[in-house]
Amino acid sequence: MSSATAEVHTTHHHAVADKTQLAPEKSLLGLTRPDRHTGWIDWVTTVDHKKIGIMYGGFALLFFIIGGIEALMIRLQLSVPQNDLITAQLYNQFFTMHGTTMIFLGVMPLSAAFFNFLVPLQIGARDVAFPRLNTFSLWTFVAGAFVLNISWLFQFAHTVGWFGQGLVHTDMAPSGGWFGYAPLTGDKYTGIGTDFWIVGLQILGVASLAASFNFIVTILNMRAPGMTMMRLPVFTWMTLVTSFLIIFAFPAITIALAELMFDRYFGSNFFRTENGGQPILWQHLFWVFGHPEVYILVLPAMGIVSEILPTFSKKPLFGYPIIVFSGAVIGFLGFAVWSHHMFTTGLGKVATAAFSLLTMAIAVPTGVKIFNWMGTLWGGRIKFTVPMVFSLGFIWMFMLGGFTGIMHSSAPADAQQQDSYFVVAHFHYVLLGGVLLGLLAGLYFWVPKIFGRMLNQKLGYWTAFLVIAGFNITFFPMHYLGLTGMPRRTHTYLGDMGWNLWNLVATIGAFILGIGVLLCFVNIVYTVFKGKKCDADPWGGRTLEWSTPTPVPAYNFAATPIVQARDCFWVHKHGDKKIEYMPDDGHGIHMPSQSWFPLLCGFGFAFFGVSMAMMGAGVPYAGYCAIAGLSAVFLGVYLWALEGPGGYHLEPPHEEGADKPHDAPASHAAH
Amino acid sequence: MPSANPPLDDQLLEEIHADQNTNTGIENKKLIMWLFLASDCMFFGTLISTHLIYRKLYPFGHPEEGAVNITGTFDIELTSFSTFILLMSSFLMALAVSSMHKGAIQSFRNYTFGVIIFGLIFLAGQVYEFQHFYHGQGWYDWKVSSNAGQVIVGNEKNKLLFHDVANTAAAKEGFGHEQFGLELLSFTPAEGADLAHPPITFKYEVELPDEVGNAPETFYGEYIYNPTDPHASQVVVLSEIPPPPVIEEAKEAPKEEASDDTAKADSGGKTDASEKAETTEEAEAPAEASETKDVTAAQEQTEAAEEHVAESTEHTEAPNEHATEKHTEDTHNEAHPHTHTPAPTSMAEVTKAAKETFKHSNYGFELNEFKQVQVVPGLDLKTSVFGSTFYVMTGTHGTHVAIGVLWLFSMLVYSYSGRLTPRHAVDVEIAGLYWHFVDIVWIVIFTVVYLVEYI
Repeated sequence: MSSATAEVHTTHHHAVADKTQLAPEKSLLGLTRPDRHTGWIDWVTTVDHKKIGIMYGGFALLFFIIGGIEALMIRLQLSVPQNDLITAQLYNQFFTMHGTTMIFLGVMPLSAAFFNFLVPLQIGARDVAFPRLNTFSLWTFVAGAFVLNISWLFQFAHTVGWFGQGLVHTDMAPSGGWFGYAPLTGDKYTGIGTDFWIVGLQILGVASLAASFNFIVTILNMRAPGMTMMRLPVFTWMTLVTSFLIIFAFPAITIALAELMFDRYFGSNFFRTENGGQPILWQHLFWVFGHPEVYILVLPAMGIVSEILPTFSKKPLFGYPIIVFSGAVIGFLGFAVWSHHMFTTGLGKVATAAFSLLTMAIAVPTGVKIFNWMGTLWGGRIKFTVPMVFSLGFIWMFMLGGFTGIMHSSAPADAQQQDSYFVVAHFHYVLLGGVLLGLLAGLYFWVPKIFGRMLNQKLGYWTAFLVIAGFNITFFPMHYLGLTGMPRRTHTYLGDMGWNLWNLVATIGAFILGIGVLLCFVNIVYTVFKGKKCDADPWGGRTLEWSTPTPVPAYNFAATPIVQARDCFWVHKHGDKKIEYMPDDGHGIHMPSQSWFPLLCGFGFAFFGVSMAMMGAGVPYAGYCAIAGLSAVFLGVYLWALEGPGGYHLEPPHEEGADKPHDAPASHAAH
Repeated sequence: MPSANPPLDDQLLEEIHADQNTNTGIENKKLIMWLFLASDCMFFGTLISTHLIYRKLYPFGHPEEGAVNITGTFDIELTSFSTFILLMSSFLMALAVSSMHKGAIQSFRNYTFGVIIFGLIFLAGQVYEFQHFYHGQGWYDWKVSSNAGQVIVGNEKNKLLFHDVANTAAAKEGFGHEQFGLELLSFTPAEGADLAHPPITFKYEVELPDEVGNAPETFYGEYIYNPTDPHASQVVVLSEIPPPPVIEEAKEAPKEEASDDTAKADSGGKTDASEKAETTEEAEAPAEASETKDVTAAQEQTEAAEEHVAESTEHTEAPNEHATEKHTEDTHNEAHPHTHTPAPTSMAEVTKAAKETFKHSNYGFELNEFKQVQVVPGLDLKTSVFGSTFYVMTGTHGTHVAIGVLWLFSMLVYSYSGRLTPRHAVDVEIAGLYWHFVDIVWIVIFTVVYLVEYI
């Protein structure tokens, strides 16, 4: 830095100091900008993508447990015919919240955890493009999850007689199914459970959209020199495609939910059949989001598997460009197949035929990916590590789910399978056998990078065995149950339908699966605190994240790497194209400052969501509380814009291994 | 862990950020705005398609045919004007961005101020529109005729023009004057009137242009409309609002009261204000009657013209056959005993003006018959899918405009406080992107929601 600049800088310093005193966070809300890097204040105000990723992962695992308990309750109720363990209404609430929780609070945030932790590392960036927006996404997600799940407390309060005794509808937790078909979710048929569901999903939508904008900008704009698009790790590519899917698919459901909300709160007629509202409109709006959502769930898992297979086959990914383009084509086609969820609504011959064909077509890029993964394995020196076992399980189970998917693409066959347990089997093979196995593979693969400790491998193999076995015992019989006519979402069934045996088997399988997943979580929690330490690159990784020290320093890369090849770290270790680093530019590493305001927005959203549901229940002044909550969000965003990115300088350590703090040299002391 | 240095100041941050060349060459914040707008396209796309689907399914906005009079609702002139204003605001926005890039901060301020004002005009138009759509202001086609054979036909919102559809010569005779330029200036629901709960009280304002070159005179009235019994609703009380210029004919005082009672009975759901007005009038009646005699005895000749004022007023207040006929026979030379009490309110001047009007413009004109040609209830979220989709869609757009105005206003303020300088031109550019987008969305909404109805 030239001395002239330093002078200008110094003169400006006083102005800034004055401005800081006038800054709204001090005078308005009494919130000084946090600069602590330890303790809970650091965690709730952090802008570090790695910490945010860890928190996303923690919340996701929590909700996996909650969603899993809901699933086990469903299976317990169905284990024997004419069971009266839980009421029909509670059963409805369990399957609604199971689906909603697993999709929006389990799989999506766990994917987001990987996006957050890995994407900046994989592209050689020091953080995401908008660090505070990233924090905002996290707390907004937590707020939405809170609003959805707090409904259980209201259900409990209602059951014991503390709340809402005068209400017409007694469902305090959502009960309309995860796709919430209107007018079933209108105010005629469901109570404030649906309000919690509507507002909770809208808040989650805000979180997903904000995160997606952030990741797209990060991936497009912040790649290290030489990291061209066709050198991007496939996981990052799939993050990009997923983010685009989110920004184009979520508006449809957000508007559908807003319309339903207006119907429920303000008496509009979007889905009010007596005044001309069309139930099919909801189905279209929901599924034009809902089908891309399926790919939003599965593409990150595909990206994870695409990272793991080459690592443990000791081969580059077979047909990298084809894998990438297949992912993109899946993303495009994902928007053109939604009506296959609605074949039985009577769309007309042309529409049905078109959507049938497009649905079959989407199997092509998916099949291409599977063949490419096989090609990667072919002739490789395969090491059956735990992540590898999960990845192979992913390919196998996802393929089975894909096969039944192709069966559904045929409209006449689909008409028979619609709303039967066959469909339940299909999407659990795709989402559990596919997505969850992929995510578990990712956990076993990257937890050593995240925490610097190896997950217990023996427990890992047990987990893999229990999860894959339990999963198949649970869901394979459902194909049979469905084809023999067992309807989906039935609360109970008669004993002479021939479904008794397989339902019992499925319930037993569900518990095996549950034990397997629990084992995995115990393993993770144990590892985080007591696990065996490992070095920075325990697997012999291929991509840039393995080139960083473990645990990864706040600035990720002391010097920005210059990438010269695909799989650059592999080539760096075993080939001739070494990773080089940008020269030190002399003014240290610019780090973004922490902020309170994303957290304030999260609180605002949570308050808004609960108040909206209370408004639905007729609680006095709840409407004003909702306005106050939303105002807090707007205030938070406004003040956050006002406070600016801020920042401070870190001097990277000059000696390897010495993570030495930089004691403000003369050139910086003036600041 | 490395320790933090003191915070950096803006200038250094700016230099640092400028050093970070992005891969695409587009600044991060600009790229994220483009992405947001891409996503916003889908938001508006969903809203607009919802509207169009229902528009196609129910051309009249409701499953029951003819439930919503769409062209009757829209005020296409106003909306066209709003659209033009919004377009021009985009033009100013472009100039503001360009000024900031050139470092001309004062021009930036001027143009941004213009954008804000235009944005506010647009919003005001929308508020006005929503209010009038909601109250059904534009939802009534009216046919108003006078006892002299004049017919008022109108379906405009605030202004019902008098058209002479009867024989002109006969009408001339009936009026005794060549004065046909009567205009009903306004016809609006009274304060607190709820179109959903009849009977409804309207206020009207009639202008009588003067042929001899005097300034046009205006008088006021009240009309109580009862859709459940249209006959009972044909009660017109002239010069009631603003505060009653109480002008009554002494000998007809009892009749007056009776008709007032009728009016009151007819207007069961009338607002407190109008009821109060009537009560006052009734209470004052005896006092007026006694005063009347003195006044008439002393000033019968000098106030001859004034009598006609009272006459007309009385007739319109009690539009029974008898009164109407009597009125038609009236001439300027006839004098009837009558009286008036100056209204003891601040609106005394208005009263005087109304009296003056009638002094020299007794054309026999009476608003004694209001016939409703078509009734369409006010448009709200609940009445039809058309209302639901219309309000949510245009409301979402209005919210976007309001946020944009707030954003630009903040920028304007910070340009004065020194926070926003030409170094932040890209921030202005981003706000500009947003503003242009909101404008483009409106062009689409204006075309597919408003204009399409007039093709």
